[in-house]
Amino acid sequence: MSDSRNTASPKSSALGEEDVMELLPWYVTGKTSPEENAQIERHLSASPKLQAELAMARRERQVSLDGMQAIGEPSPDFLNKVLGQLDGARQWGPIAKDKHDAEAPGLFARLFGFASTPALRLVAIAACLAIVVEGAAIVKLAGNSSSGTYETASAPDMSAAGPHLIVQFQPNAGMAAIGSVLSELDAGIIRGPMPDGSYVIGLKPGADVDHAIAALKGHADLVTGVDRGS
Amino acid sequence: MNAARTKAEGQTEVVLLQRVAGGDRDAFAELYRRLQRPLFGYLMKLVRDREMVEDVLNETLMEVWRQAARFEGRSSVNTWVFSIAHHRAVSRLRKKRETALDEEQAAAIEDEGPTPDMKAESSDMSRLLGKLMERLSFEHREILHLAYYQEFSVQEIATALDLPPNTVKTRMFYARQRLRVLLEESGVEGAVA
Repeated sequence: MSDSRNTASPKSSALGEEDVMELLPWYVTGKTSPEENAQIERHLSASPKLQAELAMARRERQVSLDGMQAIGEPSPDFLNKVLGQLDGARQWGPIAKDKHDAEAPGLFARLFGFASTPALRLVAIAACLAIVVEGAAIVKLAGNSSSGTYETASAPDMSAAGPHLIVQFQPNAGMAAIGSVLSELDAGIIRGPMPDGSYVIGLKPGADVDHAIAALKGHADLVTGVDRGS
Repeated sequence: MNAARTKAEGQTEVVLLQRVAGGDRDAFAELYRRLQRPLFGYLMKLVRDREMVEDVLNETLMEVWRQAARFEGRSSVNTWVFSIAHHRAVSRLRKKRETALDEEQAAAIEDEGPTPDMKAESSDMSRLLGKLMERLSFEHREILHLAYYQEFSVQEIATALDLPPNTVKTRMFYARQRLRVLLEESGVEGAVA
């Protein structure tokens, strides 16, 4: 890690006792910034209550460390088992970062990591159209940014007020099929892919979340996992 | 020994992940050897069932293999892999519970395991504290483990759990607060600040 310490925020220029209390667990592991340390130590020198909290945080940390000593590790043959599964596992391609790059795969192709063949372009266009009709066109955030995340452009009600789901699609799921399923649910992709490859799906306000989850799980050929979002 | 990682280790892991993205199995095996202990420990703290932990670890590693090319370097490899493990663990536990509880409710449920013999243990504060920490909810155990054992910063935990940094601090505050209450209930005087 290049620098895993907390970065000093504007708030850190005037930490109150509650702020210091919140930061103590990171202070004991050396993860607070030098600016924060100076303030924490100033508060500590004047507050027996904070000193007691610090002692408690240190004890909690020691107990955490001690509790891991007997935790063990995976079975000896575990790695071989995983290596044996790699043959059948498709590796996704990188996400293109420049939407103006004429050679870059289409939007859906980038979103789902597919090669941009002429046939797939047609399917992608069809899928895009289906979702645009539903009012959930997907655009890349901040055109030239390197975030690699996406949000809906024309469905602000979904992202703002509707319930969210976290969905993982099969790597080989067809784009048109996904577009069709989302259309049936009046749903749209709000952002993704997340670090684990999942996507945040927005439903309309008042949508039946259990029904949407059941419907998505019913498409086991397209969807590998569904969780409730925030 | 905790799982804190040096800058050099972090850079090596980035190189390994780039090789994994190119289909290099040796790099995958090496990355596994580097991350398996902290990852296994993290999952054991959360899931606690060894068989299920290995299932979740398996799913996590397969996801690392599939997604390696999509790592953009906005966090460390370590944080990125923990994020995958977190989501996989939450998903697996939700399925296990087979209830209609939402994720927040499920994460907030405290362990229903046997209550420690509080009076017998009260003379040994550290042992008592350890047992009470095991009784905390999934999300409270998780935040304590990531901060104290894995030595993740606020920002790293925020990235791994997909939470705002302020929520990380608040969650830690409430986890520790809950621990105080459990201590108080165990007869430890003055545990609640």
